[in-house]
Amino acid sequence: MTLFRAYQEEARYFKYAFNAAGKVVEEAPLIISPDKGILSRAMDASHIAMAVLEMPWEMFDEYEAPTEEEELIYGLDMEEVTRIVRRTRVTDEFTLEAESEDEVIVKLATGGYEREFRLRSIEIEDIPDEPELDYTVEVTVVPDFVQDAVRDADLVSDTVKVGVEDGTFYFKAEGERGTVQPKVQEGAEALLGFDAEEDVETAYPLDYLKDMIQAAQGAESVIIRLGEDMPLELEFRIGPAGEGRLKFYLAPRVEE
Amino acid sequence: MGLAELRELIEPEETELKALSGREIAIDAFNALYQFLTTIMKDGRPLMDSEGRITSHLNGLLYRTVNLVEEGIKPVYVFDGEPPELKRRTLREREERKKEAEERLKRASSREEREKYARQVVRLSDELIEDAKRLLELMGIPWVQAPSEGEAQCAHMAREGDVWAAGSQDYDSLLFGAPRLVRNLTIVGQRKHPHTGEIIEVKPEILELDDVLDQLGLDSREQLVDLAILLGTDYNPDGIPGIGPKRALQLIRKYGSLDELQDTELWPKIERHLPAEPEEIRSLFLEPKVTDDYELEWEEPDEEGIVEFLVEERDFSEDRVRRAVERLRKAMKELGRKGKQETLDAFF
Repeated sequence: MTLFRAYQEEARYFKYAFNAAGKVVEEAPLIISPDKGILSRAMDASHIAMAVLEMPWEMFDEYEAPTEEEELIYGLDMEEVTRIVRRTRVTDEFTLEAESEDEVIVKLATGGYEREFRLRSIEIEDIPDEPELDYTVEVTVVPDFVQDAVRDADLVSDTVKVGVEDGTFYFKAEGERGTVQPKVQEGAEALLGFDAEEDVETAYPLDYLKDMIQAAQGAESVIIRLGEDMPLELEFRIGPAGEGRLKFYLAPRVEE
Repeated sequence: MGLAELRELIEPEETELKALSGREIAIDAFNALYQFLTTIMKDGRPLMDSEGRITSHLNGLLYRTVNLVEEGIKPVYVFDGEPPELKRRTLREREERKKEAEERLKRASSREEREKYARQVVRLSDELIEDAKRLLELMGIPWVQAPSEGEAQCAHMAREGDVWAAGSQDYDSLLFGAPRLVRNLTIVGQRKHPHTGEIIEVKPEILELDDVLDQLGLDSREQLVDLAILLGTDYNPDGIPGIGPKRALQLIRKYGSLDELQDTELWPKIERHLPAEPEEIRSLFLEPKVTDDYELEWEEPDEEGIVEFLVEERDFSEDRVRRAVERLRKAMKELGRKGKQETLDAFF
């Protein structure tokens, strides 16, 4: 008996989102909500980062939501998920489903054949709520900018400052070898939205950001939310019409 | 002995050094120094200078500490003070075993035998401790003198939030109330297994007190302490013969505490093997002697001072020492610049 089923013609969105999430968190719940779709929220072991995934049913080309009122919850070993993701082509037809409460099934179809992966559900201790934060800055940029900025910063440091000053959104990394400062100004084509109540600058660990930006490939745009000494929120809109979201929260580094 | 026997029931979380970046960790200095003395050896003997003075502890302290600071970790070493009265017997017994091992060492014929007994005879003499403190001061790494047990002091500092975790191989920090224990800190990397000689990859492990309690199905640290007493602690090393780890856990889960066990037929046997009232042993863990008299500051290393101590007095290679100090200086500067890594926990 099928408990739920979600099918998409292209595995693209699944691949990029799960690849990034799987690098940030070690394990994650897969929450199948009858009305909200497929959800997940998990923190990494050191509680520095959180990944939040929301894939509403409308995002899928075909779906069967659970018929019971209660949510189904599975536990994913994200290392296993990452392995499957590596074996997934963006053009594969993709199905996520379950027949029991013990395992989820991923099916990839291409060229007239089908591959099936069964993932045994692991026990997940607690599912964190999302933090509630009063950000003072929200910018929307093209994914390329964030990707370039993070990779540039990685050349010189393992920490990057992210900030807003006088209508400019920037990353700044300083190291022994020099400084890099990728930036984008209000009015520029790459800056799709800009809303800043004040100038801010907060530092974040780059190794996490490098993993998070893996999701940029499958996204149309990236929303970044910031505040002084507050976590950074990265939101990737995913799905054919951006119906779904992958969000990351990243705790800051603060001056002592 | 002790909580280590519960290892199969406790699941530590394996991590990487870099995940500990920005964290202050109070390291049980005696524990770390013993590790250096027993693992940093050459031809079955600890490293020595030309006058025959041991230098393994200084070698480990310098190079392993530099590795930690390079990963952004802020170590503070905590030294044992006076042991509690109840521990003296344990220490006397250890001393006797060392004397036996010394006899065997004299007769050892192979390198393997020599290494084995050499490890067993290691003593942390006052000279070695003074060496270690002197080197830490020159390196700009803080150290704290505990009034009594080092691990109790580490746990106290972690409870106060002055450090993020206690660092030790022993599980006792959890009994002393450290919310978090990091193991393997000073032996991370590829290491030869001391007995099998196999090369293994050692990673840091994090044990959260709350997780350990959950995994064992216990309600409180008091219960964990009672459990440890049944299994044997530094204050009653033999534990209760005939009560193994699973049985002990069962008993504490069922009865809730040692006190509740007093009305059972098991009690006479338990009582016979305890060197003191349960309350007395327990209080050594629950209310240990600790101090608030410490300052945690990481400072610029004194390169010439280190060279004078290690190279001129102790025959270390000048090139290697200067390179290590250079790495340390860079890493210390980076510590200041990078700031402290927060967690998301503060933002809910």
